[in-house]
Amino acid sequence: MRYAQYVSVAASAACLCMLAQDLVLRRSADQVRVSAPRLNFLTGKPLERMRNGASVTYDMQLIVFADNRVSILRRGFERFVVSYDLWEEKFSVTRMRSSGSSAAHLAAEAAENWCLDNLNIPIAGLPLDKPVYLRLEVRAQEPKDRRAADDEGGISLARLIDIFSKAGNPGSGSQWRAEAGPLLLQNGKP
Amino acid sequence: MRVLLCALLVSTPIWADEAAAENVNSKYTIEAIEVVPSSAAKKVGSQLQSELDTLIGTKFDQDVVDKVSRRLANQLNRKVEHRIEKGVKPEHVKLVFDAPRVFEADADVNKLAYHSKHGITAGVRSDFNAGGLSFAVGMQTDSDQLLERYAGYSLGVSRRIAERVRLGLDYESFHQQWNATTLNALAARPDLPGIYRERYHMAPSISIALLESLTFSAGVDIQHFQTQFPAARYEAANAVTTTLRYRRRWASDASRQEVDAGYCLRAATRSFGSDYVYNRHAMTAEYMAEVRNNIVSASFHLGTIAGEAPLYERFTLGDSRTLRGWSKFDVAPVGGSRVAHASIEYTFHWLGAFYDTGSVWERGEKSDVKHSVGVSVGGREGLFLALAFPLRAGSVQPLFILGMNF
Repeated sequence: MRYAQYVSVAASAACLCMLAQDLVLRRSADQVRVSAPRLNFLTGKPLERMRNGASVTYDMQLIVFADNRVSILRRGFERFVVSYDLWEEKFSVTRMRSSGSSAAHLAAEAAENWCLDNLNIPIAGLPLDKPVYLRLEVRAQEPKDRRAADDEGGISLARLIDIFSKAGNPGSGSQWRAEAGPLLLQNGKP
Repeated sequence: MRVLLCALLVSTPIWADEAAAENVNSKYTIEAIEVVPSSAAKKVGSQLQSELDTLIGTKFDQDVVDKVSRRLANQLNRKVEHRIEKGVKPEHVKLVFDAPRVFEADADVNKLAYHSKHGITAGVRSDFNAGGLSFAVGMQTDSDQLLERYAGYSLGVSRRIAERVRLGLDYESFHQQWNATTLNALAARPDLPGIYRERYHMAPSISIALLESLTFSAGVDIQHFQTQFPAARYEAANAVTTTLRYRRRWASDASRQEVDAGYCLRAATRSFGSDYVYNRHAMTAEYMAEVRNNIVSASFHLGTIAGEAPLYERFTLGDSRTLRGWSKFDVAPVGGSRVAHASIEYTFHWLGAFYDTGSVWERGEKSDVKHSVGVSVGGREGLFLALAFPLRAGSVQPLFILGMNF
């Protein structure tokens, strides 16, 4: 009976996952990450600023929820600085928080994918066989936010949590959100 | 203890000022800097302008440019955004500070001079942007520039249609007053056109920035004026205009140099419905070098008119900028069809000395070269006061000039 229940939950989760394809779960041995085929954040005013020669800071948050998005199981933050090479007409991305790794000569979609590839959550301790929900939040910093950060001598994890705690407006042109679930982490593919 | 550690971890900066450092364009060299619109560029103070100039030749640094942008915004009292564009040379960029004026009606004095023989010249002008267009509205009374004193208003609208191309349309309406010396001299010169009491001017034009320092402008100059003698009637002087202007600045920590040179041709033909047929050529060149509060500047002006041109086109010397110390009504009361003028000036801090020389004459006549010297107080920017002496035999009466450099 218990086995049948698990199969039923897994099947329904897979169906819902197929319907809500904003995020695609990807999993390695020890990390959870996502891809978002329909989410483009190198657009709008941030893109205009990049084409004007400025670098734009993107803060990203990936959250794993349980209990129908009520309780947060884990979340991961990352910051990326993206700039647009005026002469090569390609994007350059630097991961700021963890390793400081970077990539250059990227088309817009490749730059977005590179950011998502580098936004990971450790899988240890997360339930692999229970339905969970995923949410990806992306916020492009306004120039004034960067100036404020400069004045403070940098940005702290507390500041980053504060950024994502503020009510967002995904339609504002500088904030984006994508969700998926319920799904099983064990079904994630590399 | 654990709580304290957590608090430290949460509040400690985990990355520093990163966005500026991670800009891929920081490998490119700034080859030129522009502040737009031109009305904002004129308001940039000399110290900040020097700082802008020193950025030329350096690598693009977003943090530095951000700070300069904020200083510009404070000085101009308006929002300033900056962008970089591909430069003319590979791996170079042009830095543009954009300070669009929101719709507001504050006016700037763009002309101010007092000449002890010619009286006051003054003008105000307001620039504003609306609907993607740049507008300019001005009023002026000018006794300095031409044979006539003209007073009236001007309207202008322009729009940048491509990165290096701007379309413009200017309209002016003036009433004239004439000096008695000019009227008496004209009575003895029946070969010259007569005076007019009002003049209307319309000038559509296109300006193309051929290079960073070189601008080409072309347009049509439509002038209608109401003559007074022998009968009141309207005449037209419609000309094709072509202007080539070269302007460049060099700067280092201790010195600054500027070159500003231009050539202008106005060709009026009957095919444009003009009552006057003439070609007017004018060339100007100015060089300035500044080294530690020592400023040396030299300027040259040459001009020639072929054909019969209205009085406003004729060349004059002897005003607040040329042959200082002379009155234009003593030099050439009806102007001339040829002009040559040179000036050299030295300024230390706010005290300056100058020497002007030049001549206005008619074709076929011998030129009578005149000279003047003087001292000035006030420097090259802002208000200045000059006492100028004509160099001539007999009694020398100095002229007093008060003006403003813009």
